[in-house]
Amino acid sequence: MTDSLIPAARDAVEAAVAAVLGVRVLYPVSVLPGAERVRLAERGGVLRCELRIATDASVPVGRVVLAAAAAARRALDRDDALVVLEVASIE
Amino acid sequence: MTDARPPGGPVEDLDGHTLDELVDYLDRGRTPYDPGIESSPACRIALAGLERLRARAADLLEEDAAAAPARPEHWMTAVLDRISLESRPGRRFALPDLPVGTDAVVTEGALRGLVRAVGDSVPGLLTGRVRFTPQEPGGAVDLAVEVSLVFGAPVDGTVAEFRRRVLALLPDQAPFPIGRLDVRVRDVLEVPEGGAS
Repeated sequence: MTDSLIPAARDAVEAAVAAVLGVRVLYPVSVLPGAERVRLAERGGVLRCELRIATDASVPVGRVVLAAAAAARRALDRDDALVVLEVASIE
Repeated sequence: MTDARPPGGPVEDLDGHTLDELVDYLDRGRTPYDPGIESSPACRIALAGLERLRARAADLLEEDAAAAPARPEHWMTAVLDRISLESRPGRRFALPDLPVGTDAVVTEGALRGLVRAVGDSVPGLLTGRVRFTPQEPGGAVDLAVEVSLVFGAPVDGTVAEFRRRVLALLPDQAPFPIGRLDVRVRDVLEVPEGGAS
């Protein structure tokens, strides 16, 4: 993925994951001011997508994680993307 | 509105914010929207705890003010300290058995926040310390919770209801099997029964 495509890809992932049942909020991936909500990095041909989310306590966390990862891959159009999620709050 | 702020208690850092700042933010009805606070898991967990405490404290303090004015400060300070400490991320527990290409963790802060919310939903009970024992890889994790009961709430029934609610919800959210659940009643808040829910 070229650098010029990354902002659009981030937006697509954010919208797709936010729409997943059981995802309440996407948090910035770090506490630094202006940190992005979706971190994308490609190294050695592997696209890594990092997300930090709040989930809904009424939906099993494993189900939310699998659905969020699948949504991120679809948004990226990359079945081989490595999706790394942190469930930072359960509400 | 009840002022649920730590009277002389420790100032704890929550992603760059203090509990005092969160209390003020709640006082303003979470307006204007503060992206720094609303984008912080620790702050959102703490805000949820503060809102529950306020709802409960408003009842308790109203009933208790004339009888024992020093008492609410004691228990409220203890609860506020726990909210502040336990809203932080803490350890990260990996979700097992995920397909190749997906890695996920659940923070200890998220799980503690969930247990606190469950506890505070039980009439007559306030959640104190929530502690997960150090995890053995792949093994069950024990949970120890300290609670306070409002005077008049039946101990056995209230604790049993708390256990029932935790065990109904936590297995679907924790990335490990739940082992022992120890509930310790630390305190009884001496207020009339009318303030117990």
